[in-house]
Amino acid sequence: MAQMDRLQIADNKIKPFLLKLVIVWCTLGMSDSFAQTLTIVTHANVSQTAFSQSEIRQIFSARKQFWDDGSKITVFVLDPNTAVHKQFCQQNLNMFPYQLERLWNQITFSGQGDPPLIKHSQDEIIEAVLSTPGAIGYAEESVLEKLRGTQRNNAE
Amino acid sequence: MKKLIIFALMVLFASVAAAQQTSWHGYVSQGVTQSSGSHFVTDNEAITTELTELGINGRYQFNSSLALVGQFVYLDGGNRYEQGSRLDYLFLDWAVLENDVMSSHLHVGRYKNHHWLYSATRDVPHTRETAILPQSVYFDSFRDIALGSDGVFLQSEYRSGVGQWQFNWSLGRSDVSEEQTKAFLGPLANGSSKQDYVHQVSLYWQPDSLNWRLGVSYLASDFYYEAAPVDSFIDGSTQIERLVLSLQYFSEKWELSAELLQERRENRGGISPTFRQERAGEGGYVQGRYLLSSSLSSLLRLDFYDVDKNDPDGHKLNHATGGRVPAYFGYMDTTAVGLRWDITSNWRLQGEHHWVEGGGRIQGVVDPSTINSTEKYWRMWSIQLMHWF
Repeated sequence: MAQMDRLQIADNKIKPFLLKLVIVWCTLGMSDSFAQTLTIVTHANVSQTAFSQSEIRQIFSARKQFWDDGSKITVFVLDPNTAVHKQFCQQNLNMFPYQLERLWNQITFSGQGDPPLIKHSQDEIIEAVLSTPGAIGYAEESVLEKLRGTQRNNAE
Repeated sequence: MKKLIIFALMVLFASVAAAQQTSWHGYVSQGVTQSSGSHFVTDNEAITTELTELGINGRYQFNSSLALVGQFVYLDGGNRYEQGSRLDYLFLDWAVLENDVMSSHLHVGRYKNHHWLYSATRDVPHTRETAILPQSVYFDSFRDIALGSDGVFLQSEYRSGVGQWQFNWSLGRSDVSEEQTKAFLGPLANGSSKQDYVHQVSLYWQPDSLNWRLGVSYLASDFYYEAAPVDSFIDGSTQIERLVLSLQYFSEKWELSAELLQERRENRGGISPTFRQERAGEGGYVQGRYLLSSSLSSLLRLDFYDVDKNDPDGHKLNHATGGRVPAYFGYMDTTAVGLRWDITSNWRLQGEHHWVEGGGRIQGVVDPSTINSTEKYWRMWSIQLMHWF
């Protein structure tokens, strides 16, 4: 139960936006993998629980690197070649993964900031976010729901 | 100044090693290269390993609005530029303003040139499309001066209802080494060059869809040359103005980049006390990259440059020099193809081949040895393996 208590799932402004986009993408004939809803997850010490699309874009493109209280933002993402990362980039950042990678590299190697940290699975992202103060990441709603279910079973 | 830079670097890297609010990144790259029909990259048709690029950078964050950042590089690009280590940048990054719609950062120290598409990370192999960038805009003889300068740089971003705006402004100067002077004026120049200042401003716009990026930039700079007691040149000065239009388009499977350049140059002295020459060069490139798969992509680029827009085929140049300088030094047109393989997320193998007509961007001022070593049609190629972390 303790782990779930420390997991903040941002009930954010982009969620309805995501649902709307999912429908759009489905009508455009995108693959089934694009029908999943993605949710922003943050560490428990992040006080902000709602994010505009502009804020999400600023954070994940390494433009906004500190929370309003001055603490460092640590961003976790999936490998750029994964379908979930591709979905996240296109639906929330209006970018293709290669565009985002290029932006990260330009920012990192011209001294403007640090790139997000790459994780190999959504479970790893959630675990990293839970254990890193100031962290933010994303995961599919179904993965989070599964985690909630596991936690409920363990609690019982 | 050098001692101060070394001290600042030591502080930076010691901080990086010791503190929490620090980070560091780097890259290493090695290639094989050749130029054939020109000594632009290698001498006498030699295939060499003169394509080495190493870099390490660190960032120490004092607080949420102030950081010290620096990058140290070692470069070997054959004859294209001076081999050796360089302090690429070392500056204080001050977040002057940060809110939902606007952010402004001020860089004080040795800042990077963010005004053209590839200028900020020109020496970072995995951030550019080819090892040898389009010479119309990214003229290698001019490279160390165009990379960044000692001074101040301001970058402001504004998110409006019609898209994102980025405004860049910088004012500084760069040291011009003996090697760079020779690269620009030729091996007969024994004196020293200095840059008075370089003043740059640029504005970029991206719609909310982010698939377009359009920009315009302006540069003004003054150089002067102090002749050595025994020299083929006398004292002189050069004023340069540069206007660049930039465009990028991003699609799921392909991307397009293009930059158009007009460069006005006024030379005074140098050859005789009354010598005065004013000319405007122009050129640009357009390149497309097609993503064959998530790890494999191909590139096609057309690059052109006329040293004098009123003499695009170089006949006037040939006539004015009494036939000494071939007409093909009045322009340089290049077709390049490339193939990129992303082996993993931080390993890449990249190959490229350039077919070139002309020698207008081989050197700033053409000297006899360059004329003898440069054919009208020549080629260059490279294969480069790179890793970053």
